[in-house]
Amino acid sequence: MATPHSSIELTARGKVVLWLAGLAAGAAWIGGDDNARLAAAMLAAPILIDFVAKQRRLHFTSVRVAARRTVAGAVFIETFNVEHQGRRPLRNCQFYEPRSMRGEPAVLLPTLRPFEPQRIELRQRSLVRSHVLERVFVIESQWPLGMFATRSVVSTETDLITEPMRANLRADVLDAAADAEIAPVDRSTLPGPEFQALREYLPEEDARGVHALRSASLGTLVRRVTRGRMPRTIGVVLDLRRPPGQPRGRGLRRCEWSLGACAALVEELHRRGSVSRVLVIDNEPEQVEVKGPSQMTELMTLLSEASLSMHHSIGPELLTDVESLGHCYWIPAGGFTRAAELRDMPGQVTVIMEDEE
Amino acid sequence: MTFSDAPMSNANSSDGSPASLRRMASISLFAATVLALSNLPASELPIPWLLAFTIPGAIIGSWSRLNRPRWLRVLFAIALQASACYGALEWVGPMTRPAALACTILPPLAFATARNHDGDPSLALFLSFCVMLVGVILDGVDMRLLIAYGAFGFLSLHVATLLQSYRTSKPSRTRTPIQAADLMATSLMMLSCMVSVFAIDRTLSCLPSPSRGNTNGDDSASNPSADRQVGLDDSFILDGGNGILSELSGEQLARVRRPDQSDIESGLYLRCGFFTVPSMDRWRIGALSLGPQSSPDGHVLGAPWRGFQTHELEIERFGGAAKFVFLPPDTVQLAGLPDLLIDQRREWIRLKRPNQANYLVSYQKLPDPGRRASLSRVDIELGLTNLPAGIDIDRFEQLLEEWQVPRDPRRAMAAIADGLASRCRYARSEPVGPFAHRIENFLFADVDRHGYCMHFASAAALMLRMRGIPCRIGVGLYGGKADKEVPSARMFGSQHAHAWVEVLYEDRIFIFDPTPPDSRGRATAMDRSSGENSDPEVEINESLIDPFLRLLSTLIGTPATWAVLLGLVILITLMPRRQPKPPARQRVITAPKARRALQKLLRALAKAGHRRFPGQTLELFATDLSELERLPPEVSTAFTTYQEVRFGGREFDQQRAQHMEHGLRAAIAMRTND
Repeated sequence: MATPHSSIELTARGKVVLWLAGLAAGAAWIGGDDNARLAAAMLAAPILIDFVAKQRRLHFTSVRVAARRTVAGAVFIETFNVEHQGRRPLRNCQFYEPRSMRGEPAVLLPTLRPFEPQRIELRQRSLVRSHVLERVFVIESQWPLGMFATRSVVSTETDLITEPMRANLRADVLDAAADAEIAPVDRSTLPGPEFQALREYLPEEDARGVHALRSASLGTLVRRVTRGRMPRTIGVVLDLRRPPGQPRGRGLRRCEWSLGACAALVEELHRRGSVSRVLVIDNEPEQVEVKGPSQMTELMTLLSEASLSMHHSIGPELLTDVESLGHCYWIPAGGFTRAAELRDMPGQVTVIMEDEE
Repeated sequence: MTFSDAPMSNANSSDGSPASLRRMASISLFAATVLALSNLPASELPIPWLLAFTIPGAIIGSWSRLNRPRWLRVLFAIALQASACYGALEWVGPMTRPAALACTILPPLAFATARNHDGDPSLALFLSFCVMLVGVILDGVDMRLLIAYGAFGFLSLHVATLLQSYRTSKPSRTRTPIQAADLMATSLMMLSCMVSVFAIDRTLSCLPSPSRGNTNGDDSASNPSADRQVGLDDSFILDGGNGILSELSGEQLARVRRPDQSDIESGLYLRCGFFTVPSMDRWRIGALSLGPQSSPDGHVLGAPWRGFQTHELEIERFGGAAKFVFLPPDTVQLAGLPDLLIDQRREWIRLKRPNQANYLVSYQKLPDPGRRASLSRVDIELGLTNLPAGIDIDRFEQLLEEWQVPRDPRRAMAAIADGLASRCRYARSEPVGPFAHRIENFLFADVDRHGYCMHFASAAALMLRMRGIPCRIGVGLYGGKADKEVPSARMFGSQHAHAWVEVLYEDRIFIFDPTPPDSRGRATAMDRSSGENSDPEVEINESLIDPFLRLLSTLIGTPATWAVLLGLVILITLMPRRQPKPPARQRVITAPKARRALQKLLRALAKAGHRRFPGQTLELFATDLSELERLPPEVSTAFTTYQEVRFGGREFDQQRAQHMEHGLRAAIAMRTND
């Protein structure tokens, strides 16, 4: 965790005034002139008072903020609780988070009195896919006379999950899995999911699926079960391995696009009522079966932390769960399109690549 | 109301800064500029010239907000400035060269003040500071103007800083209520700035300047024959500040007594310095020829006159007087003081290092010089009849002719004393009038010509010199008061500081005091703080706090005090501090006593066979007991009482404790009955 600290430095105005005060003091000393001494005193006084009265304990400030999930590049409004835990009030302080406020002006805090939390809102935008466990903020102040600027770094332990920026997938790619579905007799011609039944609502599920009228009449929460034209379970393989011999530092843009495509695909499949069995192949392969919001959060956290790995071979047992499914999407995020596992996949496989998009 | 906490409204600008803050910035900047301009001397820079150099800049600065082509504005500016200068030239004629140099700053100052855009306040403040300094250099320090300028300047700097933070950030939607603490902080900071100006000035004065003469005479001691020009600290300024004793306000300076315990005359003069080089605003000490003292612990100034008795005085000095040597007129010998710097011919004696040793002075009471007494030719040749540059000789001559001042020294002195007494009034305030110099206002103002001993002495000395009589101004103490502690001694304080004229004859220095006799030795304007104690004949009744006040006054007047104070402030500022402990948060009242009483009641009910299920509320439990007809009213009341304390925020007082107790007894009784 970043250690809270404060630093103090001369501003441009302070440097000019200090130089002038020094020159005047030198003249007063060498020449013994009263007027030069008076000039030096009048120039040095604001520097001295600014230094003495400077709010140099800005880091006695705590910031509380809830965990947040966002998409890279998306604007969001974050609410913070800022509390100063020093002895004197903090006046005229600017507050910002460097990571998520590039190009955004800092916010001018209201006067922070000791141990009186203030609630502020910041317009933020996280540009880089990431998962940070602590958020670092900067508090700056030039109060009272602007000769010195104090800057303090404060941090708080909270999650900021920046999911990959969503990629636009073609409709035929999205519907590719639908071809594997055995169409019901009474299927609708509409593409979206259709109502099938009601069942008891489970706590971890999305509350938007709750059937309000039926829940009210039964006295307990029930949710809709929909059935679409998609298979019940669809496999998604996100291959983060580089091709053999490819150096580091290449293929990053394709990787980001692929991660965004994976996120967009899984979200769309979930929206259509399908369950996605996502296998992420990197140094430590992981498999997530996305059935509801908690698994979706888990997958997005995984994607926000994902990075390309060197090429290595994987055991055949790793793909067993995916191979059993009727349809599978394969996303070669590392650019390794000639994988033997892909070639040997049974059933229908749709490869999603940026070039093809 | 604080500027930063003013609510957002339509009056806010695009950067979100409150209108009150912007208004405050404009007012403070304008006030600082006006104060700086008003510090310029009107004699050097006439008002028409001042307006000619400021009005066009202000107009152009205001006009710059309009959306006009730049070339049009440039043409307009040139035409306006040229016509304004031409008008001023026609009106009052050319101005002096220093004023012309100062005027180069005025147009940009007026422009930046009037425009007052992003970086303008800083520029305008800097320029106004330069103008202020020019005014100080040309016309000396006007303390009231300087303080007012400092206050507005620092306020403007502070507000500019606040505005800058508004420009570079987005105001928070949350607004704290208006609190007086913020205003108090701003005011305190302004005051601190003013005090720190004084403190830094005093601290810098501690530094030993290579070009400033060492008043202790260390340099002269190493080169005793060298002529020595004493620096500004030893000048005699006619505006009431920086006199040789000016730093000794409110102090007891010397106690004088005779070794034979005889009484001392009340009109005793004690000289500690003199000034020989005149100018219209100040007298300077002039060149000195220092030599060694005649004996290790004393000095013989001259042979005593035959036929006149020699008297002795023992002089004891206190506090700030420790650096001076006080001598009565016609001193013959000095004993008891080593390490002296001496100009034998000029009778100038000063200590190399301040000490408070008592010393003995032998002197004679000589009669006034006779008609045949001849003036000192050497001093005439040394320039003791010189007049200052810029003196209006015609006016002085007119006055001398009016008073019929002859060239004979004795008659000249008498005529000048009479003339001054009839023309000028003694008052402990500066002369005022239309003239540039105070000495001219003292003598030639149309009404209420007044001044104090410095002005009387200066005027008399100039007039004597115009009659070819060599003279100088002597400063020191006069009169004193009878000492309460030592009989027959006289105590001299700072309220007895005085100035007079010393006429230089061939064989002696004669004291001529043009100040009206009843006003001699009264405190000058610089000692106004001493208030009613300024009358030399008034006995000082010291209270218990007077010594502390004197000590405080001495400490404030000592530069080292301020240097130490500044060092301490910076040290305290840099000291690391611990983070304070957070205050105890207000916690939810858990009512432990009520809970314990309830637990006892529930245990008793459980023993009676009625156990409350986990998660079962008291209401449901009471309902179950009621259905079983096993709920005594005391138990029901106890349940209600607990609910009132636990959730209703009521106090668990004695009455409620009794309810719980009754419920417990009822529950125990249920078991017993079973």
